[in-house]
Amino acid sequence: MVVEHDIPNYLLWLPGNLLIFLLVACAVGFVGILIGYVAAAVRHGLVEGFYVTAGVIADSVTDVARTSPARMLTIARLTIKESFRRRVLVTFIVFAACMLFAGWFLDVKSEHPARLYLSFVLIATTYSVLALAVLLSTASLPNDIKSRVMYTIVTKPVRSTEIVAGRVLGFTAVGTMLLVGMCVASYVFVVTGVHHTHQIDAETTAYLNKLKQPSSQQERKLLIDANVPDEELPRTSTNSFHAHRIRVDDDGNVYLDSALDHTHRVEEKGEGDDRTYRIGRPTGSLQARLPHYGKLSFLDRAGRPTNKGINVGNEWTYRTYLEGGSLAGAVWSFDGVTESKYPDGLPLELTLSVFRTYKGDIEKGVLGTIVVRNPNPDKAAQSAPIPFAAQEFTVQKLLVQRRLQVTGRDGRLEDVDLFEKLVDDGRVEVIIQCADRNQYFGMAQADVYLSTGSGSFTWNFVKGYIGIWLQMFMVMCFGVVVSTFLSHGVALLANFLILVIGFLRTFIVDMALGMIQGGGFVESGIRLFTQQRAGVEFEKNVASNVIYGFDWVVANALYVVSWLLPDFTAFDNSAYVASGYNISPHLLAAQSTVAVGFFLVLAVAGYFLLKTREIAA
Amino acid sequence: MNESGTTAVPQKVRPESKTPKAEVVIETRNLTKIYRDFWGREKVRALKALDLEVHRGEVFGLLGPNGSGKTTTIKLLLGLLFPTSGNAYVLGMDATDVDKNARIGYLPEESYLYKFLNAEETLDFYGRLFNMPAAARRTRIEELIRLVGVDWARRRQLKEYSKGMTRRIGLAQALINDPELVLLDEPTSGLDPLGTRAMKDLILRLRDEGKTIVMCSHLLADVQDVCDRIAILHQGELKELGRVDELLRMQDVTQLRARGLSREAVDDLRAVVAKHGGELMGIENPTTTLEELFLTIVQDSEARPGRRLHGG
Repeated sequence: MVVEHDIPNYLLWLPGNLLIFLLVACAVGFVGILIGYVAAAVRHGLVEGFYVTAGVIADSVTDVARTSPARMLTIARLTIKESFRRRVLVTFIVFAACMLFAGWFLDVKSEHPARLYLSFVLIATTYSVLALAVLLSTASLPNDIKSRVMYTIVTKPVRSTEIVAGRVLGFTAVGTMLLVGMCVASYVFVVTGVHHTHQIDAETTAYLNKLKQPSSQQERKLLIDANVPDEELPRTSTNSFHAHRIRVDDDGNVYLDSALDHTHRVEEKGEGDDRTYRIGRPTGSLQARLPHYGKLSFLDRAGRPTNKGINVGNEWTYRTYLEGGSLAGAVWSFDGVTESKYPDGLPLELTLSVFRTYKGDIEKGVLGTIVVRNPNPDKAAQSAPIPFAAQEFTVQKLLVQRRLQVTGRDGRLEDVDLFEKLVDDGRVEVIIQCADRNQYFGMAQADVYLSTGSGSFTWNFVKGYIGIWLQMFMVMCFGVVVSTFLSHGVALLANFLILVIGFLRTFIVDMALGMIQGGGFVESGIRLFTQQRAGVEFEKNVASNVIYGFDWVVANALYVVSWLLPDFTAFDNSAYVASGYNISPHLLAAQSTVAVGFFLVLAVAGYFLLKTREIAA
Repeated sequence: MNESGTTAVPQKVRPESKTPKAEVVIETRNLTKIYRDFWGREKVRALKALDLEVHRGEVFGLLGPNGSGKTTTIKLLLGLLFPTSGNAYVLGMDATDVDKNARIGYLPEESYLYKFLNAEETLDFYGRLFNMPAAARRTRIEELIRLVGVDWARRRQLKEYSKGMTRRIGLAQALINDPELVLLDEPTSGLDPLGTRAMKDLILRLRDEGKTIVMCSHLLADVQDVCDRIAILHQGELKELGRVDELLRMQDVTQLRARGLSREAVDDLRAVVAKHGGELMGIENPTTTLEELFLTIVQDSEARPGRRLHGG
């Protein structure tokens, strides 16, 4: 599902990553100074080159200290004016046109319409804004240098810091304005796109009114029972390609079953046979779940503690698996579980992966059990297993009731209150096991959590756009920096490659570490054309050694480059928004910190590149 | 016409240099610039060991044919290029020092300006780069727009301007900070005769205000009209340096201008002059035109490279 990597606490994440950042920044700085010295030594000789290099570094301190924010803003203002007079708004018009005609290519009968709309607008925004960022940020400085307008800028008391930072600031302001426009347009598109209502016809209204009479209690119970044949249930009208089943609870309240990830509130008006039902706007489709995550540990097939489950082969390695019909289990330890927070019990939400070794009844979920355990070994209390059928590919909601059965000291089951017997100082453990023999449950840290409700969807939507903004910001930083020393066309290509490598960073790292089957560029190309299997090694000879050697060099060069570039996918929060999960502030803080780190390094690099460039050469 | 048949060029009276030891505003020492290709191989030796001093308050002209190194010199003085060897100092600071730019103005060869801005926006932008307060900036923009005569087109984008109008705005941006030192690269290029006259008047006015002006130009008459001193460059070498009036003096021709001669002597001279239908004014060394001097130096330099014609 959506959260397929751990989200560490920001304060725990920061020290280690700050250290890595400082090490990489120092290494880059050292290499930069070395290159600068070599260039100066070639031009001026070894000794004079040293003084020239030292002079440039010393000047940089003065330049940074005497950087004028007012001049920086002047450059930024110019950049904004330039961008808008170059008709940058065309991007927004194209984006708006895409949304107007979205109905042509979006699946209007989707099982998850909100997710579809959200994914569409977020992806469309990401591509539009990043394309714009690549094009815009690489054009200005090379054009200024080519047209020699730069002569009239650098002959004013303008420092390179002000030019680089001013350009980045200006482009970011332009991008931000467009992004705000896209965000508002997208929000309206999604909200209006999922908005609909249904009607209850006269016949069904009469039937419901009858059900609400005290004498119909038995019939009401049948309606709540999940085993009632589908065709016997009353339904709403069909709108937006779906209808909802109507049910009446014990207290006579009418409610609708969930369909296409949402339900509706039902308002009643009038009394007795004159009572009518009005269905409100959809609820649950646009949400920002607030998960209360626990810590995950495992039990092996003999029930002994272990740090992970088993590997089922070439499966998504993010999850490890629990063997069905054994004592293997996943133990989630939750803190801060209080009665005031969860008055009705533990609202668990599961996104389990199921690995089937036999097909079985594909319509029925693989069975599992949930056990609630007191983490205090002195109390040694745990609930009786609560069975459930795993629902794949969706967020499964299970409420562990407050009244649970616990095996007493005499071996007999007794009813206890969750918070009295199983929660110890706010801590509780939830153990999930797979009950079906030869079937497996895949588990990872973020797969099971307690639902603490839903945060503001609107704010979550904005946070999704903040992720896009951070990507755009970094692309613009790279664009400005490469354009300080490359011509427009080359800078454009370089920035595009940076973006591509940034998006493929995980793949490149895996390739360099030999985790990708089929080899590197040349080897895989040869295998492709000669149709050789990836598992068979080339015959050992000079040619194969050259191929392996070349691929090794390319892969490791890319590996080094990938360490210098951001992993743009790590800033993509669209899956959270589309799947209805609140974007953790810890995640957003970490993403923002990384972006600031790149900005600082790139600003320094851009400053030196521009300062040491002969503008009129 | 003088005795040898050469036309005596009437000279404008130029003020003498302020003092023999006027403050040096620009100084180059052994300034050399070599352009190299991608592989570091020498492509062109654009400037060879230039030693130059420009004093405060003078109008200094850099003359030379295409490729002589005059624009390279200007670019080196502005920090747009870095010297291969030697040093350039402007207003007592290294030429690459950004701080010097607060006190200089630069009009490039062509007006390299943002075409999407109008005249007011252009001047406002450059004024902001000097961190000028808003009120002072507004006042200065008004002054300059009137000075360069584009008041009627102040709201039009520069892309709609003619070349001459763009040059005027280029000059205005060079003066936005009321600079002590103004570097003008081909200042009259693209201007009509009236504009050229106005530009020359402006240069003299700036000089009268105590500003130092360094200009390079191909238009020798313009240089002759306004420059106090000139340097002539050819193939990257300094060929001539000195006051314009001194450089233009012709040593091999005698012009007679006299007063207080005896009646007999005057009568004799008058008789000679009258015989040819003229009036005797004096006996002195007449000057040639700058154009002739320039062409002579260039031709001589091409015939005998590396040799300097006269002492600076």
